[in-house]
Amino acid sequence: MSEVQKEKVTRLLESGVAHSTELLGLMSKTQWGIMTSSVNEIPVVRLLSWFQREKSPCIGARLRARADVPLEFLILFNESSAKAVAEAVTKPIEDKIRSLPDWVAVSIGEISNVLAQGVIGALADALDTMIILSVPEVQKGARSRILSEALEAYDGRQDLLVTSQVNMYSENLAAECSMIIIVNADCLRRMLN
Amino acid sequence: MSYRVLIIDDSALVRALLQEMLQALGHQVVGQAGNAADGLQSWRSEHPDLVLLDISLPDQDGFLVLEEMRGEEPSLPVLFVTGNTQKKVIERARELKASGVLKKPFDAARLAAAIEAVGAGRWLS
Repeated sequence: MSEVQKEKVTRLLESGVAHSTELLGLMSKTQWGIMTSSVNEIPVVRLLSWFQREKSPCIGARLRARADVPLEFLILFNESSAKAVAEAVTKPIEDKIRSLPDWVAVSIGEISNVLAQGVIGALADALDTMIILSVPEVQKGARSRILSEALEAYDGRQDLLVTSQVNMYSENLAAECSMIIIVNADCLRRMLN
Repeated sequence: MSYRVLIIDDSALVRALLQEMLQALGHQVVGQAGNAADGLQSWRSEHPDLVLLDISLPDQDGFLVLEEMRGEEPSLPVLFVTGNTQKKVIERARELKASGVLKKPFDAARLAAAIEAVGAGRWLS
């Protein structure tokens, strides 16, 4: 991507992430902040190597764009954060939802959906297109495993990806989450052009 | 006005939230479905007078569900309940004559206002 394109993508993602942070605050009735945020253009193998040592258990949701925009979202919470956020979001209906098997995973799926929609909305509107995301696929396991599964469809040495990694935190809930947005660099360039 | 409502949303959390809020607002939930196929089946068997429909569903998107409903029941009030409020999504919802789009996350007051807008025939977005 050219510098101009990178700047445009960064700006779009930042505005989307700011919106997502607000939405997460509305859902969990507490304020969230952004700890770090970065956009990089890197080969798949390098991205995998960044995360290969991260073996701590996570609950994450994977959402994929359908059709012509090859874009993936991974939203990852460590186990204690996932429980804290799920408890906050389900408080009004705790007696109903907490009887569901795996209610934390169910809640993380919907929380991730709302977070991803905040970002994808900014991108879609700027590109004057409609992007419909798949329903969230909730996964449990090490961050490295979840990421490598998401990247299976890409060629490790050939494909260049644009990734955006965002870390968010809430002091009130003692919780944090990471959002990783992955898009094939060629496709993104075509869309931006 | 009290509605007989069908909820079609893949998320068990959203279905539970909507059911709780709708009942508190005096409406009757006549069915719930987590995918399009089950939703269409419930719509045909329960004859709801309001459908709350998500856009992202596991088997097909909410627009296709609404198109199918429109073919058989052109005036059925259908309110999209979704986190996806992209400009093109709102345009498509309008083209298909949805009653409006209620953005997630929502609370009981916003749900009540949305249903009131549906009753008054006002587009909600």
